[in-house]
Amino acid sequence: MTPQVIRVPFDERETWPEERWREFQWERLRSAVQLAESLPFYRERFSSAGVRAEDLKTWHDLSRFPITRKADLIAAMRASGNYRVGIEADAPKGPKALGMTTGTLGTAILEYPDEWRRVTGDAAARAYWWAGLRSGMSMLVAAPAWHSMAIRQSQVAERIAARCVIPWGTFLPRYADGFIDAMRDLRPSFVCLFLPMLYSLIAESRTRKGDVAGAFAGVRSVLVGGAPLTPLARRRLTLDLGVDDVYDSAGSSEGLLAGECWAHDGCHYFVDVCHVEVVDPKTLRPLAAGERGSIILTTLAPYGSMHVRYDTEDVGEILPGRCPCGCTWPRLRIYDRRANAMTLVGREILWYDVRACIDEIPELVGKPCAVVRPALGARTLKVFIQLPTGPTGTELESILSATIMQRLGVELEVVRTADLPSRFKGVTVVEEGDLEHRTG
Amino acid sequence: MTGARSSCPTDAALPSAQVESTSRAIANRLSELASRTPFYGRRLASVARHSDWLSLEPTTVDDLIAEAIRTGSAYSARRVSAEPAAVTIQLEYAGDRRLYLGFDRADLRAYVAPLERALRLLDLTPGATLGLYDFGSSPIVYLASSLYLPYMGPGAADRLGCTVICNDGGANLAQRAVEIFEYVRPRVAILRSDCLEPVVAACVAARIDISKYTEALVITRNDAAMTPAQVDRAARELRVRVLRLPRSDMAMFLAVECTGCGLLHVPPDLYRVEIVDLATTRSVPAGTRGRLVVTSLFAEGTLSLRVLTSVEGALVQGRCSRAGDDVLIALT
Repeated sequence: MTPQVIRVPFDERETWPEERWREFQWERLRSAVQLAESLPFYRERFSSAGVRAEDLKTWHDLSRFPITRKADLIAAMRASGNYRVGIEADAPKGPKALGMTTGTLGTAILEYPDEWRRVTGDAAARAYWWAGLRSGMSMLVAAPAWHSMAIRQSQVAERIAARCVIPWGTFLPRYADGFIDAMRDLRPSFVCLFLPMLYSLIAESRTRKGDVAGAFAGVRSVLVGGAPLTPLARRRLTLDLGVDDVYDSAGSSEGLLAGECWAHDGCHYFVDVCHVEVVDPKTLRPLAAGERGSIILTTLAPYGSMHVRYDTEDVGEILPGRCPCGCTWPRLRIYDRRANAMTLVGREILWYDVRACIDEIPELVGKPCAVVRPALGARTLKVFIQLPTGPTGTELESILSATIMQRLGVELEVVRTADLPSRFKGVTVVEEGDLEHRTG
Repeated sequence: MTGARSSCPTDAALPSAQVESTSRAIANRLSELASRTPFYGRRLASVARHSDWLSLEPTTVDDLIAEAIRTGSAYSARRVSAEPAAVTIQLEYAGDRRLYLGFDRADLRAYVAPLERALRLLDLTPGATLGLYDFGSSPIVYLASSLYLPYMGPGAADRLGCTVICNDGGANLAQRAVEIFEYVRPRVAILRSDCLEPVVAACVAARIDISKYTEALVITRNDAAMTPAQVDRAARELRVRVLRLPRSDMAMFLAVECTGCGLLHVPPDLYRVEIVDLATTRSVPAGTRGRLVVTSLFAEGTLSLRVLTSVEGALVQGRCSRAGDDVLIALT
């Protein structure tokens, strides 16, 4: 796809001057906070914090409103015995689905009415458009109906008038063979996948002794999300798959939406449906662009489950400066889940930081690796990685150790492995016992 | 489309004169469409008149796989339209080649009707919640709501004013299913058959009594039905009504056992069903066990004529007060 085609804006909204979209977003934010105040969950929390919707007079005032965590929602659900915890805005009559957000803390159940699908799906279509999806193209997608992505995606397809190819199963590695078959049988020109599933497809292609590019023949663009992807790994994926380009995206069941433009330097978050803050995880002080912290989300679509200052439990930053693509919306880089952050010699290290070091070495770009969660007080970073045996591997190990020391200031212990379990590919931090058991 | 939507009763269920008159229009319409597809067109060449497709040998899954390999058509050369499908779904069959259904909007909308009828039989009313424990690629899920699939319009649950929640289809997600039961309390839950035992075990371990709010568990499976013993065991453990919803996705067939009579209800305006002797592939009379052969009367984009399913049972003469015209089948 030519740059001229790829670089056509989705709509004029993305090129509005900053003051215009900020004004637009401000109105939506105020409406969202007012709506939230009418909902039992937020009414109580606002009251406890001594703040009212009418107190929101400037952007700075937003920090007075309490932050909500998933644990709060789950606690409310368990206390009431009902998934409706009082964050659900009434929607006009029509189809409604419930979705789930899962994780180590448990399951929160969220409402997605048809209006939510329409508004957020239309917004999400921007990421697909930027990645090159156009009317009449055939798009391979998983159908994880439990997840908000599937609900948005059905609207995206209709909005862009794309055709859909849906393989059997779900986006777990054991269904990769069916996905590869669908790609070979139907030759979609656009693929949208959870990043770990994309790595599973690559592994499955290699298991079949076929070339990866052969499986992706006809695919022009790949849109991924759901796990961190370093810039160098993205470039390597593009080469390995033989596609025009690979685009990153970010999203959450709660309503975060962000997509990567052709400049590939962070994901623009979609200011028409969400507001993002980055705060210091300890002090909750708002951080400036370029500073890493916890990502706090406020959803602006006034339908279904509302999230006001919701801690996504992701670590990220707003990137400073303007993007050359012409989109004036802020760019976000999400590094990992907060739960995956590791502390070594007094320094917080994320899997993304390790991956970025590995990807600096051309022979190791995209090589599957697993960072092992360090024990309390550990001083060495332990990484399982696919390395060749013999002198080449030893040399690469030395280079990697030096790079890690230089960039992160910690010692490295490399554990060479012939292959990682496919379920770890694209996954970040693993427990040592689990990995040793599996690599045997 | 109007011709094919008229009634087409099962041979064994109604007088032969009525069968003949109502079947003719449908037969003619489907034969006209069939002649435009390579797969059925070739088969029709073996009969005297195209409207004699009722005497065609049943189509098997192996036939469709062989056709896909022979022609290179992902759709086994069953699609009538030359236009690209708006939505293509890979089917859950193992073989040398994958099978797919390609849908246009009209076919998707028509395919919603069997699930809607099934949900009505399960007494789902506006405001109720339907729990789904299957993959998004299963028709039980994607036909349920417009939120799950593009281009379909209102899904079966949408049409009834019900809310849906889907747990995906992995058997390892039973704990999440327990949370759905606890906090969502679906009035009816449709489960993939291989998820039943994990769900039963998880509910028992969690000591939750789903019978307080869930009126029926419905077990679905592609091209097979659970055995009565499996159903009975689950019903005993969970103290809830357990019903079966067999499917044949290659034939776009699905039907559910009735909460009233316990028999499988097949709407005759949507499907023409026969029970055949597997050895002779000839129809057998009511009361005789055999294999279900289905023709989907609503499907005009991808044809399904006389498709041999793996569902076993016997036609039952008589009517159920819940849906008087439905053909009744006692599943084996």
